[in-house]
Amino acid sequence: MKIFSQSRISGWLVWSLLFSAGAAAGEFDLKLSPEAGYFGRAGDVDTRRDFGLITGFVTAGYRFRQTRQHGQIQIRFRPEQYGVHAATTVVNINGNAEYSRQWNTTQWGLSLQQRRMNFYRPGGRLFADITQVALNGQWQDAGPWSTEIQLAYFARHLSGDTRHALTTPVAVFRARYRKNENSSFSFGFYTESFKLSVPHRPATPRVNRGWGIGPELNFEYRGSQIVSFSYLAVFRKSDNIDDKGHEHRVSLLLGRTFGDRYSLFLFADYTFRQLSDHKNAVRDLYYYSSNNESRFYLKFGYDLTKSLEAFMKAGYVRYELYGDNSDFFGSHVTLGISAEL
Amino acid sequence: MKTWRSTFFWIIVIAWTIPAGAQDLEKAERFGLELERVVDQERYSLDSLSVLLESNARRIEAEKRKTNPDRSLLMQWMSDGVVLAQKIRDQQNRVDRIEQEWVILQKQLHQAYTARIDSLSRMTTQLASKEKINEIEKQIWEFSQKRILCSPAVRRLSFDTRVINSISLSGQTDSLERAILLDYLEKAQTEVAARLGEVRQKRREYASVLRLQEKLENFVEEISEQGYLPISRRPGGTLPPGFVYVDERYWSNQMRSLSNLLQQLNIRGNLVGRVVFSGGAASVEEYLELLAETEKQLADYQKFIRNKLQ
Repeated sequence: MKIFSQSRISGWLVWSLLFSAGAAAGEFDLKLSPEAGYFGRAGDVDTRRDFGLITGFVTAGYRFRQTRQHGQIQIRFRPEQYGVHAATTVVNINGNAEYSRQWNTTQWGLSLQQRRMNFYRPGGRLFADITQVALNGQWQDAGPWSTEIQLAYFARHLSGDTRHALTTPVAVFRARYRKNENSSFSFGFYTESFKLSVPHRPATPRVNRGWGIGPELNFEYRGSQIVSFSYLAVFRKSDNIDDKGHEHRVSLLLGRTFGDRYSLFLFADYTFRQLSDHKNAVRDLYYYSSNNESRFYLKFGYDLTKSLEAFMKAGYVRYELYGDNSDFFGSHVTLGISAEL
Repeated sequence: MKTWRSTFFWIIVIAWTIPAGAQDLEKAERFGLELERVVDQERYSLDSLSVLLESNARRIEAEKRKTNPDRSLLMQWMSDGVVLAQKIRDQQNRVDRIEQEWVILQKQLHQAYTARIDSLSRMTTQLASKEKINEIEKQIWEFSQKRILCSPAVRRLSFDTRVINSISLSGQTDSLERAILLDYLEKAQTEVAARLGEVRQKRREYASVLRLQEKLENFVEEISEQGYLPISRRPGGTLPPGFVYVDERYWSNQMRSLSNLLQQLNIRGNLVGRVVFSGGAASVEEYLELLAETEKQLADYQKFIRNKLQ
């Protein structure tokens, strides 16, 4: 019921934004992007090697831009099938909306995201409902400095083989130094509090509360190529059970175009966690941050026409699955076509 | 008129004193800002006069379409039109003159900043104290920023387009005069080709930036889809897709130079005003449209001169 009400609230907000955006001149877009290729996996879920990955997405969106405001609404459907013999299927449905407005040297933005992820694997299934509401503010000084604040509320409810609920309010305070129009450096302070509950857990405790704090660093260059690097360290403490630990997350995004038709992007996201191994601590009540994966992606694209792109993707992904002490990981190489209609 | 004369006087004074020292440079910068304000004001007056002329023309047309037009009213409005057209010509000349001086001032400031940057760079190699080097590097950064502000998107055409429009080689019998006009046309053609190249180059640069941004946006969407993101991961913080950060003064300088060029080509209408600029960021898409339009107009003008040469 709680999930339902959360979805309804975010759905209502998304549609409110859609109607207000509809008053402004904007444009609709539709994208199709099927891809298929090799997927090799191993791990606790299924130790057999299996082949084949078929995936793709359909995105429908609307966006508008005016002198002092811009907004965007998007719905995306993405099914994924990993393997043939013992197939794992993931179905993603994602709706998001964002709106931003500027007043003099201040800019405010609101973004909403509602996502449903169905995870079917041999002998089990897992459903995730994710809601995220974020408010962003930016104050631009006359000089190269600007101040940013991001307030976000994140809720994730898992059902199916396991029942698990996480709510995390997050606040990030950041100072950004813009060296020139292409490059900027920022440092910030990340804070969060969390509540994690496992209602059907046979033994108590069934709830874990806590908080986390840590520094954040970002560097970004956007010119004829893109370089974006970020580092986040979070030190956590739980109230109800005696577990504490720290988490480090490093992300790197590189991108550039070659000539009029080629493009290359690389994204690497690595999360390292150190959790204490206290006798009272139990794994399903450990706090996992809202990001539960490490991954690496490489995408090489070739523009066949202005709205049609052929691409090759290679990557490695590792999901931590909640509650059953297992991971799902593997590498893949796929070929695909992306069309903007 | 008085304002213009005093403005001209100060331009001359400052043009002579720019290379002198820091105080003079500050004065020149202040004067540059004042001149920018005057240019905007004068251009605003010009736009207002153009609007009046257009509305006068519309009411004349409307009156003419009537079955029984009021001839005395028509005569009055036509005479108003003549007066307005003359005022516009005078105002256009005034704007052209001030802008010409503004361009000269910008060029001189550009040279002065370059000289300062060069001399400060030389100083850093001779200093041992890290603190002092940092201080000088900060100054270099500040002068570099100021220099960027003085770099126009595209320079104005040095010839008078109205003279080009009035030239007709076929009607020329005097061989000397014909040779002079031919030379004028050929130089104009070379200059238009150069400007066309500059605008084309700029359009390609920004087209490449936009293409990269669009692809980045798609890529970020895809990777966001496959992960949980507690906070916004869009590079650039709150920068919307398709926008680039630009300095506000630099941007208005770029827009003014393009606007001047379009005016020289006799393109009316606020093409420049369509480019969205918000929160220190400019829309690349609309800027590209403006550059494409400027490129098209320059190409047409190139053909126009070529036809005159034939």
